[in-house]
Amino acid sequence: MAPDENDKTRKALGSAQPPWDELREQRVLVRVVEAQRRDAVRRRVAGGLAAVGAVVVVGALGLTASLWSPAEPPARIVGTAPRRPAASGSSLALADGSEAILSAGASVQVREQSEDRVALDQSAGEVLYDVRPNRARSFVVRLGKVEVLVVGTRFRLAWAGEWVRVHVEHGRVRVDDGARRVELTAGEEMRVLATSEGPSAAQTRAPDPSPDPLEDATGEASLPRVRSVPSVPSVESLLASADAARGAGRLAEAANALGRIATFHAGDPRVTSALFTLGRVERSRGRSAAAAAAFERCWRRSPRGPLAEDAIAEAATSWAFAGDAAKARSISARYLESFPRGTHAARMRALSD
Amino acid sequence: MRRQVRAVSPVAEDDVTLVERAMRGDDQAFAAIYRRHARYVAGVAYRILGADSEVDDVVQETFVDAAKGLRRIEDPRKLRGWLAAIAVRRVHRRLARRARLRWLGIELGWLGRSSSEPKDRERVDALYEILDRISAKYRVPWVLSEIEGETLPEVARLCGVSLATAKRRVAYAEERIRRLSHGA
Repeated sequence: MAPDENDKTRKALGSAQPPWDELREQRVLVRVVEAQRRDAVRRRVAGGLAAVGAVVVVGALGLTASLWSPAEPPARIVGTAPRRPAASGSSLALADGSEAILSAGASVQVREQSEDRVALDQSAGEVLYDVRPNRARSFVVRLGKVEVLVVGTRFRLAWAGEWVRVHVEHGRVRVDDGARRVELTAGEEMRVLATSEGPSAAQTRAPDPSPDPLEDATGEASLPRVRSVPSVPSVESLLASADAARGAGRLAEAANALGRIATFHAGDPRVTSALFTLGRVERSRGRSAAAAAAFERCWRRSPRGPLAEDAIAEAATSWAFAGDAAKARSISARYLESFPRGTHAARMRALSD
Repeated sequence: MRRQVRAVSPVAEDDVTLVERAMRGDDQAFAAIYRRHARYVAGVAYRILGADSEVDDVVQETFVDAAKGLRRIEDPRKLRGWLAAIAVRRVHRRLARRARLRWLGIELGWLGRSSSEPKDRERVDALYEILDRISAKYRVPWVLSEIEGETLPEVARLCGVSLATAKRRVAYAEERIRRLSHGA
């Protein structure tokens, strides 16, 4: 390279910027917050394991005479997720690197955790499992009488009355209700009755009489009372669609994809940032009321989350632009209560006056 | 009744206040720090790496490290430089990993240098092809000095080396780039 060519190159490079927009910024922020939360959970679990280890050592010293027993060892509880996780979702990091992300009201207990087996009991709510692939250990989640066996995958389990909804995002799981088994792969979703008693008509819809598409070619029958439901695109594919549509200026399509994330994946922690982006997209479309509603949902979903301050401020501003002064005043007053020294405090004071 | 919205500039808190609040566990303050500096960190990472594909990871790692080490910051007024130093360390590790993979015969392929102006793309790509052949310990200080425009004392601080070492490494990288660009 000639010297002047060199200078031109350096100048060009000095002004080069990655395509860093608000959406990307938010997405990385959500990743930062999730990583911090995972770290915190790992520290808690490690502390819990250390405490369990200490108890085991003390117990071993005191009971040397009766160490061995032919009876089955009792189930070990080495980590327990919060019974009432925060509205934005709470997560349980497991020693093998897998993670369970709990939606509000969900409850998971670790029944067993060893090198060759992880067993969890999910007793309520919806949980997204991100399981680290490891063929040497089995990973099982039990919901009532239903067991879901995993090798390495990302899937969602939710209680719906007496039924359990299983949705697989990546990989493959095997659902076992004690009588039959069925395998689900990425993008597939099914419901299975999780209690011994039949559900009442008021609680469930009748099973679909049409042939079950999940019944495989090997002749393995689908579970009794299993009803397949239409597959819903994963959060990843909806986010990718929203990004592509947004980049191409197809804002209505982007808004639709983001709205579907909030509708079909309500328990996913990424819904908060999807709602925030939806607010921005709706504002770009000139739909101030829709933007305000999206920002408000974002804030209500996670009032102490990293996007909360911006979301509530944007909601108040958008309500003002939509001509709803009462809502703008009320929301801006809530902002000032929650963030009296916040970045947008001056603007919110102007709106609340 | 439609209410007129008055344009009022937001009152931004300075880095020192935000760092103090974040150290007391205020997540909002940490998010404000992120929003203020993430773009800058992304730019530094992008220009040293020469590719966009790992920028998100570097920004994430930088702010996760920052959250853990906030209490160790000596001068909160120099928050941006402190974050840049973390980002430089993270980028350094990634470049070293790339070099190890290359040594093992594993090529990472096209890394997507798509963000430079089209008219400059060819020469920017040519420069990064040369930089890819220079060890990270010489490449990073050179980019900081010659591309980012940092002073040599600042390059030394960001790389965690002495001023003499920083000078020597920038000079060595300059010489290597000159030779490689002439096909030596």
